[in-house]
Amino acid sequence: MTASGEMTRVGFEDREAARQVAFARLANTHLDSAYRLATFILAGDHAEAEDAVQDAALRAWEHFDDLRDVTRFEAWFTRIVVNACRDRIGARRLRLIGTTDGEGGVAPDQVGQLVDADALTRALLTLSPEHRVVVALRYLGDHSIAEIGARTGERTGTVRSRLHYALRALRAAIDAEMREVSR
Amino acid sequence: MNDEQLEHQVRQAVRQFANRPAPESLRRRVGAIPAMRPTPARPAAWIGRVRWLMAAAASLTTVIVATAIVVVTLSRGSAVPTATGSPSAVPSGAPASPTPGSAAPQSATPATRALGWTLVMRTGSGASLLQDGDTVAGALSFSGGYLLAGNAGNGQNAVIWQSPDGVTWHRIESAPDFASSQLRALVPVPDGVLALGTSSSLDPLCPGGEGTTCNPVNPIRLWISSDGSSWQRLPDSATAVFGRAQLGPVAAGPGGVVLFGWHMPVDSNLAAEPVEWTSHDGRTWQEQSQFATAFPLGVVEGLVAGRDGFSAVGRNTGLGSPHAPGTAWFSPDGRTWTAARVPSSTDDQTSVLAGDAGMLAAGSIGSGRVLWASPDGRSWTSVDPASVPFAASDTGPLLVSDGAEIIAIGAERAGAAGVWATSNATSWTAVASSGPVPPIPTAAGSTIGALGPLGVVMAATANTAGGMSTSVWVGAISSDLRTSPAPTESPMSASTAVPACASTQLAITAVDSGGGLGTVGGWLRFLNASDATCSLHGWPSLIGVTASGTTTVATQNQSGLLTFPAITGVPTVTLNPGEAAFAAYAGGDNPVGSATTCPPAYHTLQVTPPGATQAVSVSAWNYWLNAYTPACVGLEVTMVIPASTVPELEPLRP
Repeated sequence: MTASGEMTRVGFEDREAARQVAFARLANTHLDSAYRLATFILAGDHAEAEDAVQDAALRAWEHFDDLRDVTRFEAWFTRIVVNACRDRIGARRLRLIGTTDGEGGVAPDQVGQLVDADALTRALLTLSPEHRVVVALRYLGDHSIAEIGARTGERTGTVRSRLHYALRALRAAIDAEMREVSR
Repeated sequence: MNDEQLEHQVRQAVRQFANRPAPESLRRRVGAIPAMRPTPARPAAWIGRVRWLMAAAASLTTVIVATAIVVVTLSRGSAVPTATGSPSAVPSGAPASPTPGSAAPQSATPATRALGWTLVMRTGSGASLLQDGDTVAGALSFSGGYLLAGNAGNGQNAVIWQSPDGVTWHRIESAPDFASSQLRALVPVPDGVLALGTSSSLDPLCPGGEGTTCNPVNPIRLWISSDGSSWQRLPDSATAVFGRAQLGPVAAGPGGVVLFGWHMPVDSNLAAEPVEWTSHDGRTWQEQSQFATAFPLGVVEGLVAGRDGFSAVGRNTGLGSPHAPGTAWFSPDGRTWTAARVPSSTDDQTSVLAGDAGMLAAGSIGSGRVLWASPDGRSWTSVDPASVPFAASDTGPLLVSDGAEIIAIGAERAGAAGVWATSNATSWTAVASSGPVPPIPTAAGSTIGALGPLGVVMAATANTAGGMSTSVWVGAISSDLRTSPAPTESPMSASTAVPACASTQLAITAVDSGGGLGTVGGWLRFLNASDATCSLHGWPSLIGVTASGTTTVATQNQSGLLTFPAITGVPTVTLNPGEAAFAAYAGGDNPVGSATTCPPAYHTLQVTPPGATQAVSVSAWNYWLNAYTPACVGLEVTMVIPASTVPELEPLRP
């Protein structure tokens, strides 16, 4: 790796080019995790996830100047991705069925997946999108409650309560399956 | 079930459900966003921030630009000098003045404007990453890095080389049945990457090999990987659909993967028939019969997924005839093919590449090359050799594409090496290069490459009187679009007439990791991968970098580490091309004093050879410990010593 000292020593006369390269590299680095997050929030709809991440990247680039601390890119970008997913759900681009609280859940073309999935996966996909957001940030991204708050724009109390509710629902689903098996 | 067990199950289920990496198409689209939509520059205070930002970007990511010597500016929005009809539109080294406001049409403007070239691997005495006899058959930009597929030794063993960043490379030979297989190609699939190859052995129907009456076939084998490093072979039941077939070209598009081949009858008096298979995921395959029915003599030699569908090029004379007029086919869905309109030509077209706004097909005959261009793959026209900026010969240029642009790496007609880019296959833009542009083998040899978000990877195999040699180059899309003149490496050591090795001359790897008595480390190997003799004298600079980017500078060890030999004085090690020198390094795995834990381990080591200025990053994974190099007591590094004095390093593993 070129040491950061090398990078700074050379200098960048072409400011726009430097911004472009910096953004492209940061986005490239965090693309896999953003895509996985969007895939989960959007209940496994890969095409929607791809569009959401692309929307998010576009928004991020348009507001790249607002990011004051580049070491916070991941948190900043994740928040934009979460919002892009919310927009997609809000715009009813997913025709929603199987919701638990009216906020939306599984898209029709994911129903096939559900039939084959185990109880836990089925339960995960029938969580509301807002609950999937916190579950994904907690278990895909390994973020703390405070970190999840920073990435969702929610207060920590809200995050904690959503996580609690989600885990309770998931535990109920697993318990139900175990009862089913032992019957 | 307690909370911990519940969380464990949820974590597993969530990760299992969302386990795919970002598709290459998304990576490409996101990578193109800054170039497609320049935001208005905010002039105030940018320069200082950008410098800092770039430093942070470099430390946050594993992206490498190992050289920093680019001189030409082709800034966004400036008039892009097209190289049509001009051997060298922008001579390397001559700054072009940007003219803001005169934007060129976006569709015809390739994004790549500067590449920083590094020789990353080369066969030669003692090389372990790329060993004598290794050949590379397939290249792919994957998950932000690169993959190469090839064969080792006498071509009987499959090898994958994987790099997350173009600079750190891993050699993978331990996948299922690699020891009895040969690899031919790599192609992206929805949940990772597919490697296509064959068994090294002939099928039992024709065990004696090529005879007068028997067509030998090496049965097709497939492997899939989600990350490029761990590979699973698909079972024989999944590849039974291929039957007795010979592999042809493969391409992946939005609708899935398309593979061409030939059914080989056992009786060699019978003609081989073209065959096509398609797959959505690379795992299950369906034979498609329309092409074979419509074009029974069709020989598909090149295949690409373009904007509107798949384009195939080749000839229409059956598998037996080596040279024939070229032809082309087009399919919107990869299943139904029609003949494309083609100009008359003297030779078959063997490769086809797609740009954003046009496609390029290439074939070669004698010492010349036949080029065609097409806006869409449905209708092709001849390209006048005088209208392209490069000399189009049977060996060059190497053409690579990522679906958005096509890059040519070759030589000007005057002979100087150069790089050019196009997105419409018609108007070419010179691409500035820092570092030496890799030479394309001119005699018997082959080159293969791929283009991705980081830039170009290129593997060249040359057959010379001295034997076969393979080298792998990376051309990183340079962050340094305009810089001051090249930073020079430190002056050579006064005690020798041989210049100090520059970082770009060396392939640096960490080898033979080990440990004991609270010390864990290994050896740094400095292989002269250049064509020139150079020397190393003294201690390399070594910096341990943790996953979060925390850095630790190693202290210079004077007394010896690990199995470091007793050496008096500080030797100057002269390295002829292909020779290696070594230095030992170590960290500690016992907490210091009353501490019970250690700081986070080092994930990478930044190595700067003595006398050089540029650091190279290598993985700090310790195979002996099966963990990253522990950071309990910092790092130490020894002086560089000749290979002859180093105890036998076995196994010389990565």
